[in-house]
Amino acid sequence: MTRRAAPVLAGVILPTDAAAHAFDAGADAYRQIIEGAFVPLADPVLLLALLPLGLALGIWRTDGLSRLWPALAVGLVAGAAAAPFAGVSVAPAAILAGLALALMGAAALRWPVWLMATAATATGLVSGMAAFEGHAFGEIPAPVALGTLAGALLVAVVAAGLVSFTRDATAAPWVTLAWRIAASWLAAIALMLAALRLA
Amino acid sequence: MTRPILLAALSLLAATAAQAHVGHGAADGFLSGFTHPFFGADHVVAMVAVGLWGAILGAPALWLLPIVFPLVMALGGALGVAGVPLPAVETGIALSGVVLGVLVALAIRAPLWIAAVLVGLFAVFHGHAHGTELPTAANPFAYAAGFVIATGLLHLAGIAIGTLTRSAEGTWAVRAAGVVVAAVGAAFLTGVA
Repeated sequence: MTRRAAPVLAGVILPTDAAAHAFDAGADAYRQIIEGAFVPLADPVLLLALLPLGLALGIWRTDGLSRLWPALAVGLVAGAAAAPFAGVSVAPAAILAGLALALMGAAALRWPVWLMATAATATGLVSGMAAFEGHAFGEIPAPVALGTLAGALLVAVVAAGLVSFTRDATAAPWVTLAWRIAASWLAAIALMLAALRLA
Repeated sequence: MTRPILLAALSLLAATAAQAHVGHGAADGFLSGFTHPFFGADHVVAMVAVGLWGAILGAPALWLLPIVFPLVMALGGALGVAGVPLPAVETGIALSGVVLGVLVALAIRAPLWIAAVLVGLFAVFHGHAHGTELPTAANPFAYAAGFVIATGLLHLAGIAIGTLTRSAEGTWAVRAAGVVVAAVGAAFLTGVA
């Protein structure tokens, strides 16, 4: 009994502080991912590009997001890769892309798939460039870059998801109208911001 | 001589930070933009009148006009930001109240395209007036967002009031609101207000 109890006693005495959820090895990386994920949420340029994309996709089709999110993801990654070559003019370009998409969402026409796919890729491209503009290759830690891309994707995904969910949940026409009005408001904001950037 | 210097020194020491235009954060910018349309009675009545007239016209004008107005208003705002001069801006704003008020008061049912063009025309004046003030805003994005949302909410308020047109008494109340809108517009147009 004593022999059995000895290892248990040793096990009780020897442990140090509880280590649950410590993730010591990856703590910095995790924080950096979160730090990166907040970049699109705090950047008006990225919000004005990605929110209209989400609304436009959700208004276009309730499965618009599921069909075209890979196009957005490809655009974002390509934009991040091309960012070192981007100039300061990429920010107005991103706002103008958002303006175009907001107008497309407000118009709610039956846009062809190729057009929406191109718009998603192009918006991802300029958003990725705008997010990393001014940074050289390898300057931003990989976890921060990963978090930024994930955050950017999340902005569009959540916006499109909300539109699709509400449209699926109720067939009332006012739901789509409300989202179209929201898209027109985003277009108005984007237009004023574009004027400020270009003036 | 000593006393004035002493008082001046005291006032210098007692002075705190300047309070004009305090707060340059996003929240302040949003609040500044959001409250801005409410401070001009000529703006408020015109925007509510857009919603009222939309309610009288019914669908699709009901939802089309609140889409047209902010969009064209932003276009006017962009012109203002770019420094493009627009003649008689204040007159145009006041006139928008008069015309929209009369349209509501008389419950005039104009064709959709005429309604859209008319509302869009007036929106340019409203947007231009605000656009010229936008560059000095602390946070332009937050200011523009607050401004557009407040404008849209005023339209929605007009539409909500316009639902009274479902009853005969309510229709008269809405038309009376149109008279008030026209009167406010006329007051600004004639320089009374």
